[in-house]
Amino acid sequence: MGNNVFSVPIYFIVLRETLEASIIVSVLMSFITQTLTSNEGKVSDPKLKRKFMIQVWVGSFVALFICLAIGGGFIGAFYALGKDLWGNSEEIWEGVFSLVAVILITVMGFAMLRVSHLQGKWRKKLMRSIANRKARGISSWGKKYAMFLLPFFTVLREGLEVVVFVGGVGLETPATAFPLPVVCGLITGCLIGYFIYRGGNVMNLQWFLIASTCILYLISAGLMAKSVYYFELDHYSRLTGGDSAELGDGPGSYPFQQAIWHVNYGNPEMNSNGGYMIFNAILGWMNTGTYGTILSYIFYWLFVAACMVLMWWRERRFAQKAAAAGIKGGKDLEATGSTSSEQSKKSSLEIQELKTTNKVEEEIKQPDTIAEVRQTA
Amino acid sequence: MTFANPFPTKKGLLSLVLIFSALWKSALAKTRLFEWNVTDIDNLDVDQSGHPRWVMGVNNKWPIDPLVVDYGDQVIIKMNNQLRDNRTCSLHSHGMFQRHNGYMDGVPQMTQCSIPAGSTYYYNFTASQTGTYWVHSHDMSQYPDGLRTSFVINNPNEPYDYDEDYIISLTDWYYEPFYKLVPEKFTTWHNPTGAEPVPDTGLINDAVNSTFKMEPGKTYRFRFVNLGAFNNYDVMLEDHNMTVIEVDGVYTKPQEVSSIHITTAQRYSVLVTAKNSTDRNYAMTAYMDESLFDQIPDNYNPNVTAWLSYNSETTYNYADSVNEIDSYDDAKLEPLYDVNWGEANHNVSLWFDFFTLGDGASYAEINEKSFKYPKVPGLMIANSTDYDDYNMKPVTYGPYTNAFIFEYNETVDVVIDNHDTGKHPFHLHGHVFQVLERGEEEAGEYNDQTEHNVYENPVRRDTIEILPTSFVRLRFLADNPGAWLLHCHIEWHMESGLVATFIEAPDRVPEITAPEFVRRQCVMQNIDVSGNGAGNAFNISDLTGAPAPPGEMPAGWTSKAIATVAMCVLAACIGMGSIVFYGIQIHPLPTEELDDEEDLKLAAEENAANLMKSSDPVK
Repeated sequence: MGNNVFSVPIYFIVLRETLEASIIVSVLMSFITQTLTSNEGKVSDPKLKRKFMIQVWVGSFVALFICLAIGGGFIGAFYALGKDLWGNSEEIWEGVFSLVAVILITVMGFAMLRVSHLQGKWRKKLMRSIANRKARGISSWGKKYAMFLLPFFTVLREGLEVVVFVGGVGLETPATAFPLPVVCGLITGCLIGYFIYRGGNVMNLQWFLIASTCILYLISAGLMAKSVYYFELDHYSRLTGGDSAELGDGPGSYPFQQAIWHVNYGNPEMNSNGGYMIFNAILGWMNTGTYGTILSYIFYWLFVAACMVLMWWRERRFAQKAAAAGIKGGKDLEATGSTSSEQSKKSSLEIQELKTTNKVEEEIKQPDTIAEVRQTA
Repeated sequence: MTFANPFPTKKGLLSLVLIFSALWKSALAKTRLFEWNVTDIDNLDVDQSGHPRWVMGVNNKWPIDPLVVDYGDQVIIKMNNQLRDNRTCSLHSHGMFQRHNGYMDGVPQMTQCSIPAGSTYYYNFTASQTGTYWVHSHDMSQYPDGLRTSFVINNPNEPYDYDEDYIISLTDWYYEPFYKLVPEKFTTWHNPTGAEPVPDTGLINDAVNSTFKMEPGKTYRFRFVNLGAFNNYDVMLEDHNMTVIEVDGVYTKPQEVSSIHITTAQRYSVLVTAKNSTDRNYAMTAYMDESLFDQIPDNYNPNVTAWLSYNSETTYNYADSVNEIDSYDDAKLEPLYDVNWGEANHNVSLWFDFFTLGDGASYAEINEKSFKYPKVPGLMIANSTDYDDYNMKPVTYGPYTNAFIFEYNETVDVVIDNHDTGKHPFHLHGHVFQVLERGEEEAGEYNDQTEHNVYENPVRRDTIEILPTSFVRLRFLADNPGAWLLHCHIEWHMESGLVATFIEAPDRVPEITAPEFVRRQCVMQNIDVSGNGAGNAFNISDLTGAPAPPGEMPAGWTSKAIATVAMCVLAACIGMGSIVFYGIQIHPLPTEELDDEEDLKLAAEENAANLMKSSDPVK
């Protein structure tokens, strides 16, 4: 700080938020590419891929635009009124946004690990929804526009956080120190996201998904703990008259009555702790451990683990049921399904590939005639 | 004066004159007995703003009448505690040396025990100094609730000429009593930064709209006394200059100033010459120093005005507002008379700052220790630990008494480093000190390696303001055996523990007679009258159980910290392990179509339909 051309705190703030957003968006884009690319590398459904990519970009840019509008409005009002409009409820905003992000990422993570299943499911459902002009309520609308909603909320959250932080830091920073770090932070964050996106296409699909899901859940668990901490911190701040931020790392700056432990350094909320800010963005590091944050972190992971095991068990049971119901092809695959993974996956993917390419082309060409065809048959 | 001269020599004549004048003087010196019954007074609306409150007065009267005596008088303040709710009290005569008379200094748990309800304390001392002083309770942070007043000792041989003098007291004022403000608003975890509550208003002579009659051609001496708890004032007289002639009871060379900066507990005497015409009145405006406030409330009026009244028929107008006040640096004042204390043969250094301790509240620490009164009053510790030199060891007076020991007649240099960003008026009991040097704002710590400009004729006073992140260097003569507090006079900071104790010549303390009622009042309250700071009279080196401030907030990598972080890492590993497990254990779908229960049902129905179709004889 004290630099007139490049404000290091602003650089770290923008980098951290861009990094989080671009990780999630790049994983989404990788997911789309992976889903709609065959094992030989051919894009099976370029139109669908383009449609989804557009949704992702549109979602991101709409959110970005909203952030800029809100941010511009807030910062304008901020400097005009001379008061920090977000200041008093900043922590509640953070807590709520973090919690929403946690829920979104948690749900999305499960889906990502079953990309192979979801390929057909998504395609079929999306085709159905395109064919069926009647939308039946939010849930199907949500499914249809998931590729818009997820990046939208993510970029919205990150963008508003940037607005709040930069607005708060802006008071002590000369105007000349703003543009350069913002641009550098954006570029650096997007670059890292891009490399993740690129790297995803080369690696083996499922292992890439596993690794990126692990990272995503690490971020999400951190966010869970952070969300709880924000609510606790807001409560403490209100009762201490909002002065606690002045005290930096030390006593009086955190809700000590709920704390299990605290170290007097490495507070990621302080702009001088650049490294710890990144540590916080990825792993949810906080220099205070409260009963709320520690327990929510542990229980979040245990919840995720329980869900993973539960879903595995359900799939196994479904496969057994399908075999018992005597559906064609079920018995053969069930015998081999639980042991070998690669072979059966490959073959099932290929089968899906062949069958669906034909069907999809037909359905894309004449969605409205399906009903007619059936009637005349 | 003519009489038969039995002593024909010059020397004899001189001694006769001296004897006669001494007899004359002692015949003139009176005993002034003040009967002070300390009483509660309820529902007093002091500034007529609709905020009646409780105050502590004397003989059912508030404000308390100033005490005015003559030099040489024997002053006896007979203080009888008639307060309710078992409230105790005491009286400190601020600025009085109480030389060899330490039990009259009025500090509970240092020079006496607090006066219990119904008891009487006789504060008995000789007025052996002249000037402007004040008296106030030093117990339970109660003086801001009213138990204080000015104290003037007249000098029969005044070096300055003036026609009349006015005692003008200045104070900040709160609508809530201090005993509520301290635990609710100040020393609580709700206030981790230690923000001091902002006073509600200010008063001149404990009232609003005071006037002082001025007659043309006369010279007046204004004796300003700041009786406040917290803030300092810059006082300006409209269209009149002031000449400073006395600070804290010490005469200065005359210094013309346009305003005076008076901190809490300080006093200034200035000469003001009245104007020759009576066509208008002039405002006396006292400006509060808002830099001491953490947050200034909306619509806050930090100023209080009184008037120099030349003409009671015309209007009394407020002075125009000023942007900046050009106040004279009081450390540059020069005393009228010199003292010869010589160079220092004992150096002492203190630094202080504020910290948030384990209970979440803010405390002040001197040399990293926050102050706590010892279990046995300091004087009585010196009196009873005169064995094996224990009375010369600072820790005997309590590990948290910030005690410094001095030998008789040492000349002591004291450096005080202020690490805080606020102004602090520091006061030493039992003495005046020379202000050798005062650093400018943000001058940092005193560095004895660099060149210093010491004031050639340093001002002497008993309360000095230390500037933010700066230092002050003082010198005094330890000629007064006793236990004397050195502390910041902002009452909030006394509560925070910004106090040190100067124990002077403890070996001579047993020579001071302790009045019988002093011991009796301690015994009445189950307070030990002998022993060390922890109340231990048998094993003086054992200080377990000594009063202590809250400890620091636990921080760092405790075993709890490591354990919980390890549990988090373990949970994360379990979680990520489950992700890998689920990710690998992928059950392929039986056919491409059947990927959920819905489709399973549809497929089953289709199968059934096909079966029925194939068995249909029509087709």
